[in-house]
Amino acid sequence: MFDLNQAIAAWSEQMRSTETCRAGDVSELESHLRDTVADLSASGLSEEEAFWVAARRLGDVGELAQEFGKINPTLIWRHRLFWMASGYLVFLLVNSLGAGITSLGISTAAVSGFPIAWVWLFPVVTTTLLVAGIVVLVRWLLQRETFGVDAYFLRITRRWVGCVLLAVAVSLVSAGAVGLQICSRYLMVRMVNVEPAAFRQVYYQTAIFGWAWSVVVAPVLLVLLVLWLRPSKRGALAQG
Amino acid sequence: MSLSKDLVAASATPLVLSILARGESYGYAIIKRVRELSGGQMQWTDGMLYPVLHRLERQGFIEARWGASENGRKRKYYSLREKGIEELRLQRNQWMQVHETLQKSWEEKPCLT
Repeated sequence: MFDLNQAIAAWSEQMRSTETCRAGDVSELESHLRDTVADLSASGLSEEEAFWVAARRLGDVGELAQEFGKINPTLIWRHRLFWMASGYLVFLLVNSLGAGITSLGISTAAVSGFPIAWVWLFPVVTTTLLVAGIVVLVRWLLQRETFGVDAYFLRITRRWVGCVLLAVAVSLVSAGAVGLQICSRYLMVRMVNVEPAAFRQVYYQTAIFGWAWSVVVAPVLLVLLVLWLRPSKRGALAQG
Repeated sequence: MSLSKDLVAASATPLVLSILARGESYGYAIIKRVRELSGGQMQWTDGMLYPVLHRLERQGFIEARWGASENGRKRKYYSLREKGIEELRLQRNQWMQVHETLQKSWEEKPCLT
């Protein structure tokens, strides 16, 4: 059984999930859709037929979004900036979580007599696990077609309250991760009974791997991301 | 024969402004009016009118307000502003000039020698 309200809601949701339409734009288009359906129904079409004709007359969602993009360019940039910032935050989180877990592992290993020559394994293993975890999470979110990760974040960031809450949540987790790192470093210095030369070796090893990650690997990944999102390519995609 | 895409796009602004010059209106009614005036020759993709309206609003030619339709639904109404009346006059002159020029050029006999 065809439900007009449901069909219109689905259409609006599709429109809302484009990055170029404001909430007001969508309700205006929705009002237009309803006017057309009412007129067509009055001239004898069934509600379902009227809806499909009205949606067709209103135009293709992608083309409409592109047209709205021309008059709302700041929305696209807000959206892009959001992704850049969230990418940087995820990077910060992974970095501090990885370093925290690594230092904690090293302190435990040193106490339990783990061979110092193999300590470099800790940053490598924790970083790999964290990155793999993120990849799995992103894949899982992207596979849920009806509720794509893009639409999900757009829905949160459409309201300022959502943006602020998200920022607070991420900051809290970040602060927690940094705290974990500081605590474990402190523990490492206080508890570990190793000679200064061996301690230096351990410290340099972790520092070098940490440096390699934050100075070489992460920037390369970020540059690739920015290249992927670059405006000219997006324009070409929208036209094609 | 329906009009080319470029011509439809170019004439959108003066057409919308002149329809609004007759009084406050809203998207759906504007589309209907265009269809009536052109005898169905000007086929707009309905949704494309809204970016045009929003651009005119940003340029200060028209203003918008949220109101209610006859059956109480939310509806956005547009009306012409002082600056829009001036713009309409300007555009009208330009279009008349194009029209006159074309008219004259078509009246001239082709020179074959």
